[in-house]
Amino acid sequence: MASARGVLGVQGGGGGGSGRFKRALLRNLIIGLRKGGVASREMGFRERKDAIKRAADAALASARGAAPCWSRSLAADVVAQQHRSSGTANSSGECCKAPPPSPRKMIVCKKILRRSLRRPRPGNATTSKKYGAGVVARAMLMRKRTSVLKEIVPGGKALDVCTLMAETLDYAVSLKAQVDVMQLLVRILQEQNAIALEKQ
Amino acid sequence: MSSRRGRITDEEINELISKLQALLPESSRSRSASRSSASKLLKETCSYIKSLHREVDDLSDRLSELMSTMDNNSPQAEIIRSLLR
Repeated sequence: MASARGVLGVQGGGGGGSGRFKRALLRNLIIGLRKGGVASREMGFRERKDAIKRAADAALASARGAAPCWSRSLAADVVAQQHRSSGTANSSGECCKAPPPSPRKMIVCKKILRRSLRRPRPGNATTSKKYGAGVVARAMLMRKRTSVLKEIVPGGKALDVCTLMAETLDYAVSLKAQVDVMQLLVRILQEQNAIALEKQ
Repeated sequence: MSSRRGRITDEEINELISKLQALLPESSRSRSASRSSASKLLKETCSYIKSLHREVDDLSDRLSELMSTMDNNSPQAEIIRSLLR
């Protein structure tokens, strides 16, 4: 079971991931684009874009490695998409199985959750004084926000709240790195085009 | 994968929360007190991740277009193509 620190391993050297991570990302992206045949002239726009997105996600997952759950889940999604687009019949894709959190973590997480989500018992004057409607409303809002996060983070649905937080942080940092690397690639291509146009 | 059997403490959770806060774009931080609403933090994290997804989508559009309009005859295009072939 990856500790929180293991999952946060990408955060070396500054926001948006370390330089080493981004270099690995760029390398993987170029290899992936090559494999996806995006330089072919016969490809339609949509097809090319989908291939690019797939290559970007595959590059991200493989550069990050198998430590975080989101990374494994994303890799599985990419494989499933590739099978779909190539028309291969595939049993509905592997879903990411999050390693079960250690029992102690579960107990502590549950205690913390219970504390924040405790509802006032009807008919108990002390409790309703202690936990007013405000607390209940806030707890329901927390539940809602957490469930949105579970949809956004790959593989988030299988996770408990504490692991989800660590995964979210790691995922956000890695995503930012992916954006940065793709922006770099765009600039490279734009400059190449500009140079080519000048020389005409 | 390491299997460190430590307790995940309140301190670790606070650390994660403050890291998330540090990660999010500047505009939100000035308003938050030291005990800022956790749900607000989650909401902003969700927005942040969604905006990153949109950026990736937009960049994929641009990359797709750039690759399709590359001048076929220039040596630069050949270099790029050989890189990506």
